[in-house]
Amino acid sequence: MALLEVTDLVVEFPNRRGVLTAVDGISFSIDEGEVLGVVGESGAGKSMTGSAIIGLLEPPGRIAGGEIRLEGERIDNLPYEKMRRIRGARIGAIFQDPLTSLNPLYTIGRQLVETIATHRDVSDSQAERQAIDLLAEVGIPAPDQRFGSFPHEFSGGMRQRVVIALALCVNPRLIVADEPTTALDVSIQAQVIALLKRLCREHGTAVMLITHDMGVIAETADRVAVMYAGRIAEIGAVRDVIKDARHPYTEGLMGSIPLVGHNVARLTQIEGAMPRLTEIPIGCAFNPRCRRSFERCRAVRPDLMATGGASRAACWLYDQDDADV
Amino acid sequence: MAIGTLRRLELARRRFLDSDIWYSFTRSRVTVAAAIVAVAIILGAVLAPWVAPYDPFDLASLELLDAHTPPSWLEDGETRFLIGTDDQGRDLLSAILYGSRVSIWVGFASVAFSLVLGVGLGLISGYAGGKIDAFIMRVAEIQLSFPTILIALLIDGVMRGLLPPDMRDQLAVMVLILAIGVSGWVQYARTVRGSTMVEKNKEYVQAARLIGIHPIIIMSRHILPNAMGPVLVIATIHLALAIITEATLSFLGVGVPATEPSLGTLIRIGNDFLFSGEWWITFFPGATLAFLVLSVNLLGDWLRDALNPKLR
Amino acid sequence: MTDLILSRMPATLELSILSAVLALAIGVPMGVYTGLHRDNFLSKCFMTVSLIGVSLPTFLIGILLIYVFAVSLNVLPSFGRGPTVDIGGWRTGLLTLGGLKALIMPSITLGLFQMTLIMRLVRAEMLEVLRTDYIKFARARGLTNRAVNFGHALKNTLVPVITITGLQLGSIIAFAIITETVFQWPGMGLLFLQSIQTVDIPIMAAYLMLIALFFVVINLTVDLLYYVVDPRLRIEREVDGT
Repeated sequence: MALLEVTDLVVEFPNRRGVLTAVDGISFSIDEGEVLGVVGESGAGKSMTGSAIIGLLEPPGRIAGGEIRLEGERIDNLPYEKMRRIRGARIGAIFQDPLTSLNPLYTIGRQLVETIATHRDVSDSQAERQAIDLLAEVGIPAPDQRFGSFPHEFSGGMRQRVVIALALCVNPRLIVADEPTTALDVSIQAQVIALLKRLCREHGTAVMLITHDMGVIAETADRVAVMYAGRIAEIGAVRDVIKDARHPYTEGLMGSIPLVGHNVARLTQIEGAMPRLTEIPIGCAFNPRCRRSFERCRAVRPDLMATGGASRAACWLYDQDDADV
Repeated sequence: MAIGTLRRLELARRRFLDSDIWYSFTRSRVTVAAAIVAVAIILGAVLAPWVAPYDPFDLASLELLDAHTPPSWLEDGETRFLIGTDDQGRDLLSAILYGSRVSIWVGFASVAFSLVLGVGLGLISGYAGGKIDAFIMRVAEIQLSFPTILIALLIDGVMRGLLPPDMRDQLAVMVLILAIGVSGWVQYARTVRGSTMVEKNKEYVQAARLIGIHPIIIMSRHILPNAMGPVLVIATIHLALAIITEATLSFLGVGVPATEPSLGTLIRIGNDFLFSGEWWITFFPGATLAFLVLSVNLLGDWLRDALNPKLR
Repeated sequence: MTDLILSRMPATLELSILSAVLALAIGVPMGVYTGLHRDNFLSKCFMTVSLIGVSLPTFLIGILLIYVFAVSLNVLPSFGRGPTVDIGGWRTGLLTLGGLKALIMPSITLGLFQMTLIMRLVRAEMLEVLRTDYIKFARARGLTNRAVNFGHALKNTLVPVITITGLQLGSIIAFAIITETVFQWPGMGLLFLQSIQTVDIPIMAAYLMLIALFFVVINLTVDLLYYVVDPRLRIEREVDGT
């Protein structure tokens, strides 16, 4: 049984002009200890999916359909208090900007102890001990001194380590990491990613790594889901998707990444832009930009299907009945 | 493009009606009600000479016998004085209409003065930078730490001291507008200065400077339109404050002269008669003032929410 | 002449401080409530009351209160301080029942405007804070609503509120002029007003200098308070192990 199972998830935003569908029926699963990358352009729906999973969709956004199951139990329809107990303890989250993720008025020690004490029944000194150990684990020098420091006294990379410590302190089974390195310097990014990878391997924590940076995915993830306009275009093992992309969109993405050693005169560019939520085309959302689209693509929306390769893609090119390849 | 003006107007009208601003306006019943009340009072004030049943300043028409008449629906009331008379026999309804006139005129004029002064100084401060900016901002800070009412009182008091007694009454309204206006420029200046500093560094401004366009034109044509949104919001809030300040000063006896009573003056007059049970002389001017300020505040609130990009 | 002003100072200060305390005691909780429960019926009531508080000029509120409680109901005195007691030069009205009764209406009048300002400020700050990333992260860590709203959100809200309120104290002392006029309260404000009407320059000057002194002291205190409350203002070494 998978750790996390998402089935036909739909996230909607009602507004005065109607209803915007940010996530339109996606399904995927994450196994114990696995790192699933979720990649896509801004607006593709990746962050929405993450927010929906941890139950912190901002109103008026809401889950309008589908199921989310954690270790078999449904969590998308739980009352606030029940979901609160799951948050932090069984599902953790990391957000993009470490500076704004920490309350500037409290020491990091206090913020750690508070989180531990909320979910575990331990004495204050035990919690403090655990917090200091955690700080050491994420690589903060002189952790017992730094316990009483405030967030603004740390540099960006250090802060993100503190954030990771906070997310992992009660040992959740799954972490939703929403663009954890985007706000960091490139040199720091690598270190933070390495840290995240190591800790999650050691604790056996699964990670849903949301990012627009394919490089990070290639480094860190086991499997990857490529999202486009609120749907999953392709999903499979990282190596397969990168080396042998099946969906035309993924192909375009891979082609647009500059690779050291490859002497290419021009990078591949996908014409056009991802459609706005209010203007999603009928049929396959990618069809106006796809060089291999045909009649059916413009009429019916494809679901994820087997492609003959290792990954699955939502593309009519792989439908056995259609001999139009 | 040769689109006729009529067509342009039509397009603008349609764009407006379809805009978020109009939508949020018509959706909020409270705001619409506030707008109606405000417009009613303002219209009444502007058209007072034609709408008021009597001229309360025509000393010849006043009859002391008519004094202290209660509103028409009470015992002893008379229908020709709809809401009663004051201690000198003046019809209260007319007095209120004329009084609103003064209150609104002083309010708008002070806000206009503050706006021009503040926006001007803000533009200069933000655009010029350096010592000029530092100086203006220092003055602003010092002024900001004093409450507006104190500043208005001060200026009024000083002017009063400087002018010869016979001119005091004549210029009182001007001095009042000056006092309230000067006490309020800082908010505008700060906002505009902020916008100016942001816009100043943008490429199109730098390009304009390179070409040699005069700074004043740059400021008015390019920078000003961007700052007008928040300025408008400040202005509506300031209008309410200005009206209150004028009423307060008049109530205290240091505002408009007795020859041109505003709502504040009327309330002061009525205050003397509260204890003898003649509540209407205070109540009706007070209610008018309250409704006026309330509607202006509501409109200001709505405007602020409508123009706030974060809430869209 | 300084004696004249100083002898009137206790009256004004007692009134002002009581008003400020009232404004805070009612304004802050109301602000927190309306910030947390935005679309509640009670919140809407509070917002309406605050709108009225901001729209009614101070003197009108005073007159209204006098009419209701002094003229109609005759339970509270309509002017003056009532019986006062002299403690080492400070004439206080807090120690007599009559004095306390006399303080009620003037302090409500003076404090109402401030109370609504504080309420709106707290509400706006609260809404702003509740939208921040650290609140989102706190929720994501599964902290209880109580911890999030009061432990984190409230504390961050109060920091700017403290400073602004402190600065408002000066404003209250100035607004006391109006309240003292309506209630014939024998304080500095009434003295100042009379000096304006009679163009008495020395008294005007003395009052202004005293006010300026108050402002300087208040500003200094607020600055120090800020330093104590917000750790970001204390310069410390940065941890840069990267």
